[in-house]
Amino acid sequence: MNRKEFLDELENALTGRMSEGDVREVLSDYGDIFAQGREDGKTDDTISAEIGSPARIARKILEESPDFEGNARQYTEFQKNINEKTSRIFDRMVEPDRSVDAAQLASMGRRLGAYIIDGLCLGVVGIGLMLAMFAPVFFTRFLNMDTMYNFLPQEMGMGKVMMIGNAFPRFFSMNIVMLITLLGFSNLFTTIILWATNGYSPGKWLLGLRVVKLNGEKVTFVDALLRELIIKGIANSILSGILNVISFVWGCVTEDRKTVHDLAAQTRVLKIDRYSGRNQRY
Amino acid sequence: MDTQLKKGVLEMCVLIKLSEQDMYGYEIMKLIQEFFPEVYDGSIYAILRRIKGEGYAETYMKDIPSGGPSRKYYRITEEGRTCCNAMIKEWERMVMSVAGLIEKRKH
Repeated sequence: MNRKEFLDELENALTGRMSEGDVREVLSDYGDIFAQGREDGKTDDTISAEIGSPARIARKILEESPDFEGNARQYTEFQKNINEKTSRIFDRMVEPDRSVDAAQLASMGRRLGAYIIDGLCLGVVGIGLMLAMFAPVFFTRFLNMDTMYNFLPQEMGMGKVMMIGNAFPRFFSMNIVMLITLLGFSNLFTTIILWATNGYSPGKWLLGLRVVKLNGEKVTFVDALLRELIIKGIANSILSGILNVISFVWGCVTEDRKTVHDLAAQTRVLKIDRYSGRNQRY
Repeated sequence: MDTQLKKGVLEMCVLIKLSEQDMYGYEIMKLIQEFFPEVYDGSIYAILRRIKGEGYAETYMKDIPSGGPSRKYYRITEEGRTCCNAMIKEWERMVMSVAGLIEKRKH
């Protein structure tokens, strides 16, 4: 972002919410920061990256200005605390993290590829498991419906209500149970793999990606659990798969390609060289 | 650190620096950031605007010798000096009390 873009955006964010004189004052101050930064031999991009986004600056300025209407409201300590935390989360969602080099970040296309490969791998494993687990049911259902009727509710803890109706809904409800089990398993698998290999999954390994913690430490089991099972698995299932779509889109539009699960576990996905250099920093 | 407290302390630091000599925004910012590296650029300017708004300092434009754009200098007022001294006294009192508390905890 160059000086003009930065100042224009800042002006837009402030106009109408502060007196004109104050806005001019702020703009001249920030123009000053750019002018001085240039004298120190910095580029506009570096300077604006150091300052932060105009939207965030505007918010801070408005919070501090006494005549801002938002400040007229008296907040309790509790509310202030919540506001502070919310805006911090918001900042984290919007602002790129300085400790990550944008050039090392994996592209969203590659990450999607890894996600699909993982899905396929785990699908094969999962279906194998399923077949083994439900083999008795598969065989009996075609041979003797009565056996099925007696077998299912007890073995799988399902209510009798699921067994009312003809063979088709019965088959359908079984598929749902299988699907949920499969999903749960696959996310548990990726959780364990991510934790045990410190940042990989089959798909990620094949495509040369690695999950790293922002603080450079090892991915802990809790991180992996939060990232893979709770967010990508459970929360995503509850929201009918929308969450992962949001993640993908959010990853595409934010500068450091963070997804919801990245935010939750404080991780980023980097592109690494599988064969030689790994990633030097981590 | 508590933001209110921090704001107050930073305001005092800026006033102390200004009572030594007139300075322009960027210069003050660099100086303060030497001591408090986590302070973001804008907050110093916000403090300067507040100080000016409260009448503790006034501004004037001064051309720089190398011919660049003129700089806005801040000059402390009498009120600013009085306030600065009061703040320093308050600060010293507070530091003494806190130091006393910490000292007691050790034994």
